Amino acid sequence: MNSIEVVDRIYNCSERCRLCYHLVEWPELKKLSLWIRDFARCVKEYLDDPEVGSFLREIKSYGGKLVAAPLPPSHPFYEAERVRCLTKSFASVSRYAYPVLNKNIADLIGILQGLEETSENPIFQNILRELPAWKTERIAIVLANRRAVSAVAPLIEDRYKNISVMSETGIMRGETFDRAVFTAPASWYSDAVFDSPRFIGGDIICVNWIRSKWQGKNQFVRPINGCFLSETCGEDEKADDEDVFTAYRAVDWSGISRSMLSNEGKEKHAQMVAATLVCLEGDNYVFLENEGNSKVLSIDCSRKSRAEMVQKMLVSDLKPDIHVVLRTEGGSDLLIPLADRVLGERALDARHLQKEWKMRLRNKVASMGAQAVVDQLKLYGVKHATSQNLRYWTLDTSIRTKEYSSFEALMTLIGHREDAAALWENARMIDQAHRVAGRYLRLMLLEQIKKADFEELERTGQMDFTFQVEGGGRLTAFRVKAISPDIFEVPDNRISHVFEEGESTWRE
Amino acid sequence: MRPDDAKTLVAVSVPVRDYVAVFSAAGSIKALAKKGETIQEHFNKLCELPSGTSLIYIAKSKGKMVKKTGIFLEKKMHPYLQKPAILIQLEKIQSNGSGGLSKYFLPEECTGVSVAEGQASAKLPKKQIGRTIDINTPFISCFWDLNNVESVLASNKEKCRLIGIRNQFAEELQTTKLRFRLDDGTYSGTLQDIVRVRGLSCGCGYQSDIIPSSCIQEELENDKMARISIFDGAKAYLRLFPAASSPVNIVILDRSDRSYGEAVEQINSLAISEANYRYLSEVPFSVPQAVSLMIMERGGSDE
Repeated sequence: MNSIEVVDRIYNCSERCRLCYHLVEWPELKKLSLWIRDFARCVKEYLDDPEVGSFLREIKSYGGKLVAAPLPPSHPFYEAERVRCLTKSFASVSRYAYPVLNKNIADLIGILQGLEETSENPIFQNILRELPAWKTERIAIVLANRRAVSAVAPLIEDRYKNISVMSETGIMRGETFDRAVFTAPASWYSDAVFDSPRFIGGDIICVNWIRSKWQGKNQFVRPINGCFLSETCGEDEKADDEDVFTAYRAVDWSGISRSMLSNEGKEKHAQMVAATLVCLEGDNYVFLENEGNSKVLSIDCSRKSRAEMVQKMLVSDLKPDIHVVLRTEGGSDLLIPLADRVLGERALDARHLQKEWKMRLRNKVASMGAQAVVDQLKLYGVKHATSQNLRYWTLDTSIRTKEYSSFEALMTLIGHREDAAALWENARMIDQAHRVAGRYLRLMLLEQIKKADFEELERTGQMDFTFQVEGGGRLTAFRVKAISPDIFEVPDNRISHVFEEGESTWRE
Repeated sequence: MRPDDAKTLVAVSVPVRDYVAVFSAAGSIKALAKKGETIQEHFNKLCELPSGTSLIYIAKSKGKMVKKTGIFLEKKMHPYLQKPAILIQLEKIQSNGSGGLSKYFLPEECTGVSVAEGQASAKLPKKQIGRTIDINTPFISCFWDLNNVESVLASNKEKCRLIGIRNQFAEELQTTKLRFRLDDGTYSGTLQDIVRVRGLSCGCGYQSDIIPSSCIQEELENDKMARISIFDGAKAYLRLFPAASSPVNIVILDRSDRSYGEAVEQINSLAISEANYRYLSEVPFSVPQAVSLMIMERGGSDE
């Protein structure tokens, strides 16, 4: 709840808000914009080829970054080097596959070079020019996506103490500002930023060929006192609405995946898993395993009864606005410590036995190769011997095979045939404990959910559930904001770990 | 009075939702409080009641306000003061004929007396101590501008209901302090003293209720309709408007709310598609520039 004073300041901002547009020229970037338009037209019929579609997306995203993040063009944030390499690699493929595109690619290489050689970013320069005049005001520089914040902030905040660089979520947090500077077209921000402004003076600085104007569309049809549209100054007459760049607030799936997976040192024994990258409320992300029938605990507020609201759903069925429940404190999976409590004194030995045969199986796969192991298992008569199942059996999360005969074959393969029955019994015991723990966990969660205020969950998009049991930790329900269209190969130790965009380490 | 089918929808778009619903509730309760009835008029009304009518009255007892029940017996001259009064029975008559305490109420003592609505015949106890209630009478009188506040508070009425997040309402109602400075002194209290939400430590004499917007429509099917429903937020409106609407509905939409656009769209389509609605083009007060207001009315006439 905001205090009356804060509410008063927010109303004051809404009453006095005035938007001013500053259009800047950036000829090199306009060339890229025109190139994208032409290239998109040329490759219309080749867009089924993932190489072509992905390349076009990368170039649009690069343009979007240049528009949205006010930084010198040589700044590593733009990843110009990577874009150049991508272009070269695409050129080598398209030379034979799509020779008709050769000229386009040659042009692009020239344009990219031109952009890299540009010493100044006109949007950045525009801001720097105005800064001395804004000395006494509290100013927010609002970027269309938070990833750019950590790159821009050090350049500005260290020199100007009255200025804060933030994302649009930052400016909606309750503080109000004398002035807010937006470095991308208004349409790249959420409506709420301008519908309910937290600033008195708003400056939208944008390249002059993209329509930058805010068009307040959420108005009553017959209001008594007119509309609450802010006054505007400046012009955007030159704008021809040619916005070919990927709005930078759109999720850069491959960029996020790349930056998260570049963190080395944790994948020594990890298995690669097919995963969907999910964008969660609060600029959080998570990789969810998406192989076969992979499921995730979810809360669907649209269901009628509370019991129906909580259910496990297929990751492949996830949709935006559903809430997924993930562990955010106390390890990756609450099920294991709970199951260990069910097992009691037997837990240590049971886990050790299980770990031992898993390790042997992994070593076997590493030494023989997955396909050879599958072939061997087939010879032993395992009907479901596939590389996918084999990978699953090597995971710590899988406890045993469905049938004893398959389990016995696995044990034979790793030289444990005489212990197969005992190990099967051990795995069955762990499995049973996991089931009991799972039911208990669901009941605990349901108890918490009965007391939970779903309106608040729907409003904030995030809610914590803390369990008062040893090792209980915290589960958090997050609203799903978007789901990656592509599947990523991810080490299994990164599955279900919630991370923030731009985080270099994993939250564990 | 408005006929039952009359519907008014007041859509309010604000930059931030905080306090809007609770202040709207305070205004609604004030507007619905009967005004202009003098002590004598109230007394005359009570005199006309049939004998045996169940009554509630609020009185001071040992420094606290207490609520008691009684049965109207008759209008009679006070035996000692020789002034008109009403006789109210307060305690049960025992089988041996003892007990059955009754008391004379002079007109000025009748301000705390009102008819117990929904009760055919009150069951009186052998000895009546009364239920302590929490009423900040001077503050409420000042806000409501009423002489006989006790008579309004003597009975529970769900005049207004707030639909939204209970904890938010509770915090806003209980922590928002108001102070009136009048010629004869300063009166202070909280919003809860005025809105008197059931279950939020108002003792009795509640005037409004909270419906969590997370409740499902079926849960509201048998709910008694309030005079005014205040939907706090787009989700509350989108989820519960069909089930929880009242003759007068106030929909508060926070422009920073994720579902704001969807709610505006729905209200606009209602405005466009419903031919029976008429629209107010002006209101007798000034609307702040930060607020956008649309008022639609269907059927009936103004109160």
